Amino acid sequence: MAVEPDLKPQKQYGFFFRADNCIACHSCEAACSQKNGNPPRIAWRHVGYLEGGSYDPRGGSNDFLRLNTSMACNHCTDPVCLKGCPTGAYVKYEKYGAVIQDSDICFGCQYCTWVCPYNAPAYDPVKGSVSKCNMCVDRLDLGLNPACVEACLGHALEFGEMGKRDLEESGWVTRMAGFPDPSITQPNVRFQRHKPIPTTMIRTDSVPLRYVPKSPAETGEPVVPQVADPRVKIEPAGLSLRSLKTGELPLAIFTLLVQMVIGAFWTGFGLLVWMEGQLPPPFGAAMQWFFPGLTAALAVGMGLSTAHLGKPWRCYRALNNLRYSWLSREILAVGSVFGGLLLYAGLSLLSAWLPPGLPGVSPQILQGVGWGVCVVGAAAIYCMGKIYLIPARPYWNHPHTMVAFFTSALNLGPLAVASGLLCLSAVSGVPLPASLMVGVTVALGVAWVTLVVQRVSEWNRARALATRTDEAAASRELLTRVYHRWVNLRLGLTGLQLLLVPVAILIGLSAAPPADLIAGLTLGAFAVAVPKSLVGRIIMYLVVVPTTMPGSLFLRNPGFVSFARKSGLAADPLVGVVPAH
Amino acid sequence: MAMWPFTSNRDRQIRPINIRQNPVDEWVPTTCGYCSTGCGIEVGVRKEGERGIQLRKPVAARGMPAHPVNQGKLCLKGIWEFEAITAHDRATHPLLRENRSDPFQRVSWDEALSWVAEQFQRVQSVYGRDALAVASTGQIYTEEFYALGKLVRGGLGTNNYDGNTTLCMASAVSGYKRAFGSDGPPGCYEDFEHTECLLAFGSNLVECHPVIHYRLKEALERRKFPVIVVDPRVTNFVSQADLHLPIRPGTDLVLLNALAHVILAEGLHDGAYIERCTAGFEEFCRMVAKFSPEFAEPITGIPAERIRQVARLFGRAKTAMCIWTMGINQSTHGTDGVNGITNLCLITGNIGKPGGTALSITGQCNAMGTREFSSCSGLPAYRQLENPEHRSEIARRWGVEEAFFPPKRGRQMTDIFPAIESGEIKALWLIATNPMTSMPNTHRVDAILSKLDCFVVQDVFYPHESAEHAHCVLPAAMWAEKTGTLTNSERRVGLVRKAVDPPGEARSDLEIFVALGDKLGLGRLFPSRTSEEVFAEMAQISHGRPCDYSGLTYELLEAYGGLQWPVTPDLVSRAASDQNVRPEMPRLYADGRFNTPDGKARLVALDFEDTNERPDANYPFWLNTGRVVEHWHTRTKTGRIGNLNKFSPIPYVEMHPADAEELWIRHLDHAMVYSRRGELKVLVQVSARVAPGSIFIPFHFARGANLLTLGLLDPISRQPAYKQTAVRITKVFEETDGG
Repeated sequence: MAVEPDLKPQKQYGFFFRADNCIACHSCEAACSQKNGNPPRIAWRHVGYLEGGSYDPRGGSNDFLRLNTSMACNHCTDPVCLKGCPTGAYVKYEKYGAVIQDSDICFGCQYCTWVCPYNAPAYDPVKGSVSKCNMCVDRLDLGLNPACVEACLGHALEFGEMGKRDLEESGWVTRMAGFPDPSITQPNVRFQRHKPIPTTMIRTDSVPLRYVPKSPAETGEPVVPQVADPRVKIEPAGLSLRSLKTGELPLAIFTLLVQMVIGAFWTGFGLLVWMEGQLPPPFGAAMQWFFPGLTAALAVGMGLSTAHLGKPWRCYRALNNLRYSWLSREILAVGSVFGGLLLYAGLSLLSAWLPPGLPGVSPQILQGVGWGVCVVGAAAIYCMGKIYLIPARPYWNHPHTMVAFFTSALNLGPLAVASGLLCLSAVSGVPLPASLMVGVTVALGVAWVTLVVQRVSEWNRARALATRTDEAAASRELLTRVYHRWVNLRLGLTGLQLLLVPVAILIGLSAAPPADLIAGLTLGAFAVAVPKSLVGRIIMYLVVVPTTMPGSLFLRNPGFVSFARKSGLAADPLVGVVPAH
Repeated sequence: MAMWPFTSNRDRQIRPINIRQNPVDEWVPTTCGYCSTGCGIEVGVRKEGERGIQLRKPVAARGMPAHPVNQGKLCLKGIWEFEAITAHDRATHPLLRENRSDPFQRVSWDEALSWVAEQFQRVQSVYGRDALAVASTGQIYTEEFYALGKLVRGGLGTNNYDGNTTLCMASAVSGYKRAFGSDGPPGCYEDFEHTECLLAFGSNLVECHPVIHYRLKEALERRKFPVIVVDPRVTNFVSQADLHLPIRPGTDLVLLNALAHVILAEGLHDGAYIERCTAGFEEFCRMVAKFSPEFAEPITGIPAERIRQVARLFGRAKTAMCIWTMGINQSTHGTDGVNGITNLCLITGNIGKPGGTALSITGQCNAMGTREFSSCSGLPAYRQLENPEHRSEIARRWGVEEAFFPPKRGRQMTDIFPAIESGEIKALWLIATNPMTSMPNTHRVDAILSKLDCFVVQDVFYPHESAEHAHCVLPAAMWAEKTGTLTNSERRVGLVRKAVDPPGEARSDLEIFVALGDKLGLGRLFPSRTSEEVFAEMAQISHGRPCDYSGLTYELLEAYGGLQWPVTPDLVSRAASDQNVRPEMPRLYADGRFNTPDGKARLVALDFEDTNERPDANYPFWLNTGRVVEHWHTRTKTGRIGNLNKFSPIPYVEMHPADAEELWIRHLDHAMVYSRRGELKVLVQVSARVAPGSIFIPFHFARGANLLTLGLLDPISRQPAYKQTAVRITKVFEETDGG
């Protein structure tokens, strides 16, 4: 990948890791934490390990190996954290090529922790901000090595200029068992290992992955799931909201709500255009309150989106990185949708309330604003999709994520509007005008078709997942073995919706449609659609297995973290696990 | 906080980013107070406060760059050691209660010491002098050991006086005495630079002594030589080694005899050295004759061919060395194991020469200091109670009656506890040790400690497990809160300067000993009252002894970053005239003369008798215990430092995948481990680093592995065999099912 011109440093330094020599003494971590004053709950550098081979003194092979890896930030040539951060807290320091983050700018959205494949940015829930390795540039200026390198007791961790040092000495490679695909970010780290590695390496943390080489000569290994392995313990199944990481539930609701609001605007605005702005009462009056309602719903959604921030009061910094960050762009787009909606709702209310005869709001302007909201809404959903299309989260990194976001909008939105209008007609006893009925029927048709599209796209992703061997495959295992009940429930709800909508359409097409029945059916379909979408969205967060560096038995082990929280161990700050709140 | 100016990317404004600075006002030179490696640490002190009241706060630590041991490096414990000073639960005031069931009352030092003195006198007058036991440590300074020894041997006069070093180093001491005539490791870390073959027994050097491993690694980077590790578990040290001998627990003596057998059979021994410097060769030959590799194979589990290969490597190397730790010492035949090693080195002439040595890697920071000067096992400077000349010499120097000294050493740590159980001992003074966690069979220790009439605990922390039954708690100053010396594994005496004041009313152990001496009316024993004065007295008293301190002063120790005894004034004056000479002795016995009466080392003929508890149908697993790198002994310090404790905050058991599968136990499940002594619920790590049929639990945790251990004693050193216990394991269900 071409380097953006302004991200190109004068010189690029990086870490060199001799895996044969690492004895997991943790001196590098301790020196790092002492220099940077890090409390037990966060670490910028961490030594994790993989295990492989077997050991049986009674005979058999004795090739057991614990492969230790010390890893901090790799100061990537393509710093996805810098590009992802909406606040612009990251810089690529041109003197050494260090990727440096400013905790004083950070507002704690944790998006950098999503995009980084190596867990380099460390989120501190107590401070509400992220911090990370800064390559000890203050020490570099004094001619010293970074503190971790200085502390290394085994000639395992070294430091130098990239492309110079690794060319002078052979055997340096870019891949290593347990290390995520370097093509994601072009990390400035090199590995050396001369001793052979057993063919299968297993993680000791609870992440359901193991590593096998594609060929004997290869040092970089793909990953395959090992959920069925008796050595691996999977967290108990259940769609427990407690299993969600902090802030993920508000994000799930936020994305869904924004998509529904945009879909509903498209539908409502589309119907108005179709009806040339003329709706008989009570539908016209309802429409007048419809747009302010959407505006309010969006406001709620945006409020929710700030709930996961460590420092919500800094949310104004979200637009600092429009140049690179899809998150910045999304926030701008959603904000613009909100502004547009506000304007649209305001103008339409104004034109309705102004006494006739006064120069009112011209319908052209109103419609212009409406079209604008439609386009910006589409852009917002697109940006939202881009946020989740990240290589460090392979399960999400599939076109289906984008399809899911758009189809959610085009399913929930039309269903909401259609069921609203039909219910209003049923309650008020005023039948829908024929042309509006056509529009509503089309809306229902759109909802049904998008649901079919969504299913097909999901099936397409499932097919793609079946061939994967990496973290995405681990997600597949989680879907099929752990969360299968919820997946099936969602499938059932989808089927029910797929059934209810056409029945409603068919009855609606009949000569004298019974208003109550159609309204009931569409409302039912909507009532099914909402939990179905929410369950789907929560599953999306639950089953994603990010690319991570291998942890150890206690540190960076999700299994131990959940045990420490459940058992109350986490209440002791000396344990290094932040209690769930 | 300083601001760091960044010229960032072109499209950005120049923006300063904070990089944390940790200003230090003064770096105080010390020697690390954890293990016996003896690293030089500088403690960074920040002075806070104003107008006269200045608070000195420890805020950083760094290795001393030019230090002869660690050359600027530190392990993670050393890096965080300064945080132990400010950790929570520091004991700050003397506490007293008449009855164990009452809550503690805060009292003044005067009150506390008067009570202690009165109780000691009462118990001794009613039940006899030996009804008081003193259990000391390897954690305080040598000056303090010397003062304590004086107080106990010369004042209190109880013969039930020992240290927790019996739990870790006693076998090495007994072995050295039996082979060389006196204690004292003959080699040094620099031997790694010269050796052609390193044989390590029961040592996970990488985790237990990371900086010694650093020295080994440095030597290997410069010059490759074979590293062979004998260990039942695939430790991180084993992963670094060239050859791994996966031995069956407790059978090391058979392996050692078999190695000697091959060396003698193939003529790889140093006949001239054996003739000139050793005694007992014939009997030794007769004994090892039956230990052929084929004989050893079924016992040790190591193929005969592998034994021959290692014996040849060791025998043919121009210089070869052995190191060992608890795998040898903590065994029912620990002393024999040590002598197996000294035998191996002696028959190949590998003692006292660069790269050829039998180096016991010691445990605690001042285990050596207690061996040298605490008088636990005799009288100061390797003098023995059994020797009338030694008794009269020390009696004269201390100004006590010669007859006051018992003619024979009394009970050791592991025998003191059963004597409390049987009512022979009524009072216990515990100094900087934590037997509730460190002694085998915790339930029994717990019951024993609750039987005492008078139980005084002197420690830097309160509360801790061993203080639960105490009547009196004396708060002590910690490492770097007082000045004194420590001796490391290679006989290097290192200085610790006081960096900060102790918290509250805590006092240095030396001050406590002297003050208690005054209360007991034994003030005459303490003409020297500051650590430097005591050091001068020690230097004087050690003159002419193997551990000769007579040339040492604090200034010299500080200037050289520690010196290896013996150091005579002669050596010092020679070094003063030559910049290239350090006034120290890197190796003992270089001249081939040993401290035995005839000057010859003893080859000890050792038969093997397996007396251990062994797995059977009811308890089918071997339990092995050991250390992890992040924790120090009973976690009183490291368990209170989050950045260490987080690496293993709770105990765990390592279990082989095949065993786990059979027991339906999955990785990260919990299991119950049962022995005949107790039971323990523990987190399971499924890992093939332990052999099938074996499990490993780190010993650091209170009410942990030692609930299970049996700890049969070595008949000579009285050291417990922690590493061979039979256990049974079952799965625990509720932990996995809890949603």
